[in-house]
Amino acid sequence: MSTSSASTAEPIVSSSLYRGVRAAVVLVLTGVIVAGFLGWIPELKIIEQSARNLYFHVPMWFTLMAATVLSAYHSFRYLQTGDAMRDIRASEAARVGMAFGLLGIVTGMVWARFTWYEGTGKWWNFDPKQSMAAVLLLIYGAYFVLRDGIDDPDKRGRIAAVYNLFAVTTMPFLLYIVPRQMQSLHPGSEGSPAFSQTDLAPAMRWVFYPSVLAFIGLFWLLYTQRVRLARLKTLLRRTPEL
Amino acid sequence: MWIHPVHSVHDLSTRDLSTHPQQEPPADAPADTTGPAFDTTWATTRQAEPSTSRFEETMVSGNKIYVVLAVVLIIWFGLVLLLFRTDRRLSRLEQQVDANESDRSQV
Repeated sequence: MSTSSASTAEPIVSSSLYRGVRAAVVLVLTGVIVAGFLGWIPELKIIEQSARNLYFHVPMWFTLMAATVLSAYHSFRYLQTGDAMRDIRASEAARVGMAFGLLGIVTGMVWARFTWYEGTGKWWNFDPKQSMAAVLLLIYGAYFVLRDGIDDPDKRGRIAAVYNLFAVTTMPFLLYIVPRQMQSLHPGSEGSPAFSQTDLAPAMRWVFYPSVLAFIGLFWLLYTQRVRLARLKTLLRRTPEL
Repeated sequence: MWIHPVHSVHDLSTRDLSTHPQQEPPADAPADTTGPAFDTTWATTRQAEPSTSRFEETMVSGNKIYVVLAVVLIIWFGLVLLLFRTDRRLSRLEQQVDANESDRSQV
């Protein structure tokens, strides 16, 4: 525990960086909400006004991917250093990321139910991306069960970190590769939507890209809050008289 | 490019919910038999004229999409307030705990 006591003494984040990100997130997300409701979108059949969900549903998934990568990075650093703060960062990144993933699943269910499955009453349609996303959430659910099930902090950190590194390798397969091999509501089965000039109307890109960045920023703010809280908890647990 | 197309003007007469309970009922409505004693407003109170301010015109245009936008923005700013308050509490707690920690390590 000698290395961990050194790192828990340091502050979690530079406060000017945190405040800057916080101000940017508040400004950009407010703009995204206003433009998302009032901005021009192309008039398309079936999807109609629900195309605006792009600005809110899709960033949940970008945020989840960013969270799993951040979490895996801290797990990797934990294995290098044995620093308890790295273990805390990895688990909090995964936890907040899963909250965004859950929101992504639920918003996707509502969107599909009243858009492509209007009148069928189908809330779950086994779209490959939907199912694989659910599998990914279960894989990370097992990470929390595993981590919470071990009492010894060093053993817990090591085993959880190794599991987390295996978990993150499934993410690109479950969210990118497998869904693109099959028929799906989601873009991608006909090539890479990232380089497509036709998938997304240019006017919508000006709302969509800032929205992705701002939601990742919002994730980072919530994650930082939770890491700060977990650090305080660790300090207080070590010195019960405080 | 940003302005939502205005689909309809605010038309009270075609809606079921067009009459507020405290407004005058339409002429063809059945007579009110409860009498003035149970009225929710004083008989002498002047009924508010339907407001036609610029603000209200804006809010009800575009099929009332601006009303939804206002609700979502209020919720969003409420969540932002929560974020800021939690940050402040964390900072205060960190100051206390870190001060105690450094006291202990000096002993």
